Amino acid sequence: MFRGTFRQLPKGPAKVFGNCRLIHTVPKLRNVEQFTKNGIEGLYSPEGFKTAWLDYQKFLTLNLTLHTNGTENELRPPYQILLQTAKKTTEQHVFHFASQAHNNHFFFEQLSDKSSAKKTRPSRFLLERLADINLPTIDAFREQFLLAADSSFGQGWVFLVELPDKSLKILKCNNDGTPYYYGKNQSLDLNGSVDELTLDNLNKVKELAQNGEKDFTLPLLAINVWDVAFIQDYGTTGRADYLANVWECINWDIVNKRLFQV
Amino acid sequence: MYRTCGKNLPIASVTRLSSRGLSYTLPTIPLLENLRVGNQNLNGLFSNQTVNELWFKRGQHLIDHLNTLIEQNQIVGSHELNELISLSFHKPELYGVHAYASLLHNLQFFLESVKPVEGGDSAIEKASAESLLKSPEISETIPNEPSDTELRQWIIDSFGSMAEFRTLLLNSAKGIKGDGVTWLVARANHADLALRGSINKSKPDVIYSTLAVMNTYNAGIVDDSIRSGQITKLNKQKAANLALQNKEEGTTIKDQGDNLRLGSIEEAEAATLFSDRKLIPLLAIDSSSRNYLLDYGVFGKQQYLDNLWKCIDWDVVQARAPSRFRQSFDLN
Repeated sequence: MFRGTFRQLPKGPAKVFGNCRLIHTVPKLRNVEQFTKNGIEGLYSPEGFKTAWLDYQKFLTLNLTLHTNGTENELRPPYQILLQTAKKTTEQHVFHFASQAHNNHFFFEQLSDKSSAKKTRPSRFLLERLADINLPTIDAFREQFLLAADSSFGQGWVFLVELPDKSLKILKCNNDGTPYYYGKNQSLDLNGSVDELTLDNLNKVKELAQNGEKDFTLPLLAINVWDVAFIQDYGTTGRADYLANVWECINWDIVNKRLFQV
Repeated sequence: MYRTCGKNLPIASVTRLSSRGLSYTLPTIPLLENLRVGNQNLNGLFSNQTVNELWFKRGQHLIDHLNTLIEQNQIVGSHELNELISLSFHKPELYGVHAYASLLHNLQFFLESVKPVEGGDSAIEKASAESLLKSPEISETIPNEPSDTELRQWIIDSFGSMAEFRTLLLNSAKGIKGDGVTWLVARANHADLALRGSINKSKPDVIYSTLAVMNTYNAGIVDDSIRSGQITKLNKQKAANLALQNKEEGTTIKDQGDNLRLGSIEEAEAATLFSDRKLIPLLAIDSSSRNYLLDYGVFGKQQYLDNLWKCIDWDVVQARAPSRFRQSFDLN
């Protein structure tokens, strides 16, 4: 009897969005148990994996929960939060955690053990697109990509992105930069002397923003060049070694699928 | 004016002229050398391994890259690191030299501002995720205050109280997400010069009236006078070039009543805010993640900064400070 009445209770209130809260947690990676136990073969020790993914992602998502709780962003996933906050100067604190959480997840999704990564290859379609931007072989691309990653003076990311016209581009982002919006790519370093090329790029970004241009760039491949990604296993000066190893552990099956194909 | 011979003032970086031209060697920081020899921790702040990573490995890494770039760019003559930083600033082609030199300078400046703390409760251990949920401290009594009364009073006059200063300093450091350094600086500007009436002298004394906290990012430098307003300057230069070009080609641009236009906020700031400032760094706090990741873990930045406060060597800070200018009257 009691049960019957209970079942007939309207389910309404629970569905009202005002009562919902989104707690950001560390996303589950495909091989997370194996990685936690053994690290990523050829890239991370178990301790290094813990720092770069388990701990750091926990740090980012926990902060994201704390900072979005009770705000308009509380129901949004990191990707939407980063888009929502990218243009707001007073919300860059939130943007940082959203952008980092999204980028780091994007980066770890494409990693696998060296032995299984070896069995995957970039698709012919991807290689053709790379050839279009004057990178005829995968080694030529590796060279350019890792150079971009190793040449910045601070923390950052390097992406291979697809532009709206389907051409590819290597995009370097300083600090918590995101590939999704040109105003927050943070590709320019204005700390030292600014040359004419940088100045032109800066003015171009300003002009785009003033005209309210939209950005349809999508990332295909990312490398985390923050210290947290390598300091545990490679030390403060081990960035180059780390980058070489990351390259060996890229699961190209995942990257191939990110490229839009008709 | 600038007290350069304080007892604790560090040894300047060693410059040597080799047959190949200018090259640098890793400066000697006696405290760190001793720790390395004795295989000891920097008590209260860093483990021995971290000291090794931060200074002996990374310092050498920066020196190596700097020397390589100097050789590639064929920079000759003998320069102190500071001179090299200033002379390479306005040359985009020397950006690498400038960046490595500044990074090295900032790192050395930071590591020379700290001293080990014996005993005490500052543990060097990894923090857990729960530490993010801790309430911030609101205690008004704080450890490791500067003992020198003059410096103490200057800080209190500039920031309100020691507790406010500590909060501002550590929160500024905490606000840096990527690489960066938080500085305590002594500030002088022409407004102060005018007060003293020294503006009419051919070479006015630079006088320092207030202390301030500022952040620099990546290889950024403290000196405002060389780094500010360059974007505005470049844009003006470019516009002037364009106008000249147009004149030569005979095309004229319609005068859009530019004389009546109000400038942008950026232009106003560039014209007034930074042009007459002079800053002397007294204390550097490096809050880049590499400093705390190894000892304190991903969640340990607050713990690292709290420990760092206790390890600040105020004698060094005091030795770096210029003599203070006090207003003999109050404008308010």
